[in-house]
Amino acid sequence: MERSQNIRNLSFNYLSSLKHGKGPVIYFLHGFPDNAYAWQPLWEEIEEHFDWVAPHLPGVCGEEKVPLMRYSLNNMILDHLEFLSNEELKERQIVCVGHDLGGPIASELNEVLGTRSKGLILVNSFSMKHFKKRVLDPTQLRKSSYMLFFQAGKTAEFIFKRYHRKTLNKIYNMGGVCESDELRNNPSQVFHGIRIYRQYMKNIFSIKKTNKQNNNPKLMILGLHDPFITIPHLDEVESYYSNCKLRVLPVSHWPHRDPANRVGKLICDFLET
Amino acid sequence: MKILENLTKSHNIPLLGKVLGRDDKAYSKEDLRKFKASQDLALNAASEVGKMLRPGWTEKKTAKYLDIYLKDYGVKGYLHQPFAWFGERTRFRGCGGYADFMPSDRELKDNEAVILDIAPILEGYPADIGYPLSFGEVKGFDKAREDLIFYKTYIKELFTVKETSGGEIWNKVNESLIDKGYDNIHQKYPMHVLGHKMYPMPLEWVPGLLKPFSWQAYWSLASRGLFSETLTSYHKGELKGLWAIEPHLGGENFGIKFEEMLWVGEDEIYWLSETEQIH
Repeated sequence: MERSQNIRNLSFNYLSSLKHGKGPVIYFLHGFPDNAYAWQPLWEEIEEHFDWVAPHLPGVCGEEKVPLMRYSLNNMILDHLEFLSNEELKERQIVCVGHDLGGPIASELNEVLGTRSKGLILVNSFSMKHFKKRVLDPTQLRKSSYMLFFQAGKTAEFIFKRYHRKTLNKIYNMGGVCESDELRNNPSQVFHGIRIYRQYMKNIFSIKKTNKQNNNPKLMILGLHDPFITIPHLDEVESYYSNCKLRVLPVSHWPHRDPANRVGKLICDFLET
Repeated sequence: MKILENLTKSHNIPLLGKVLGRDDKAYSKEDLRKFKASQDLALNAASEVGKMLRPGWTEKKTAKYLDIYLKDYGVKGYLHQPFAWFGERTRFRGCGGYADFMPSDRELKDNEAVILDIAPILEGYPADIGYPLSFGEVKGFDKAREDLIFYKTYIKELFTVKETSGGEIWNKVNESLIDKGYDNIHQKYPMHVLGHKMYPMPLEWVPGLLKPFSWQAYWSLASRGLFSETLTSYHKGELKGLWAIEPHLGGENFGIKFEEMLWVGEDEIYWLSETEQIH
């Protein structure tokens, strides 16, 4: 159900199913160029067992003008913290699931929620500290070169808006999304996600790598055929995430679209153990 | 001291004084309402971020979230940058120079006290608030919180005594909190102030530049005579005006303070928090 809450003078739009009323809530954070509906096939797999909430990231839904500073990681974290303090959710434990650019948000939320977080799941995604290491890695940089174009600000936004259907199809073709997938009908607002990338890049060099990590259980799901991410070595994963399981599937960038049942089962198994 | 006092009265220069803020102690109801709106926003920021606070957060992260909260509601400048102090730092243990008071990488642990101290300027009207809370069990904290309520009433009463001086108020509060077994932590503040006066700051959009106190803060107090603007043991001048009062008590392993604005008018003295909530 599409819902909205006012957070610091801005609409916070989200979808949710809270029919169980107990147990951990799975908190889905989508990637680029998506909105919260990107998780739809996965909801069908998990809602029999778990409640879930899927917020839209700033700017990707509705016509409301979002100030630029609201796209920064700290700003978004405060938005999510305020949202998760609402009456309906404040007593619930949270499991953050992040895909693509939702990953840095999910992993930072996992840190700041402390004992309230029951775990972290990253789907073809990294934490901000890991992301920093990755953008300095030539192999990864080759796969992420599109991010340099995102830094072009309004020019990039204009091009995405002007050729939005064409660009969406190109990205989804690269990412192995099925021809008939509804993701391809996404509105042009989904490209506002590049503002988040720009904020990430702005702040990336001020991020310190610390050894301190939240010891909550973590699951990393990576696609073997993902054209945007190089699979990290296990020791690299262990240096950035404690208590982390790594699962590499023979899939591309959007495994929660297809094969959603497999990812759904991984998530349910992870939460049940 | 006399020379310093005269030097700090540059606010009397006609044009400069007008541009940088009115020297008016007889605020209208509308002025006080705007100060109150700024104070309400600051208290909301502290209470909202305080609710989300969890062990593992650093003072820097907490201060950053306070800053974001306030800026999203239209704050463009500060009297001072948001402060967050955890544990033994709430009683300024280990704090020497200015830099030690700045938010640090100190993480919040279970069973520790917290003080959030923020001073936003909203539409040209500053506020300065202190917000204490504890995370878990802190020995003596609940009693100290009750004592803070006592000081809120006591300080207001001291201001109502005719022909009392600022120095007398400072000394009486100091004696009282020592009698109650606390250390006087506001003695460690710059000029060991128990409070300071508040004025509109129309140039809040000009970057504050200095840290932790903005140039607006230095200008606001120093240009009006400094000694009349700060509530110290050697305060000089009249008490009328709008004060930010900040008694800071030191317990065994924690500090606790409140800070709120007190209006001292011709015929009435009241805490702005006693009036209707605005924000």
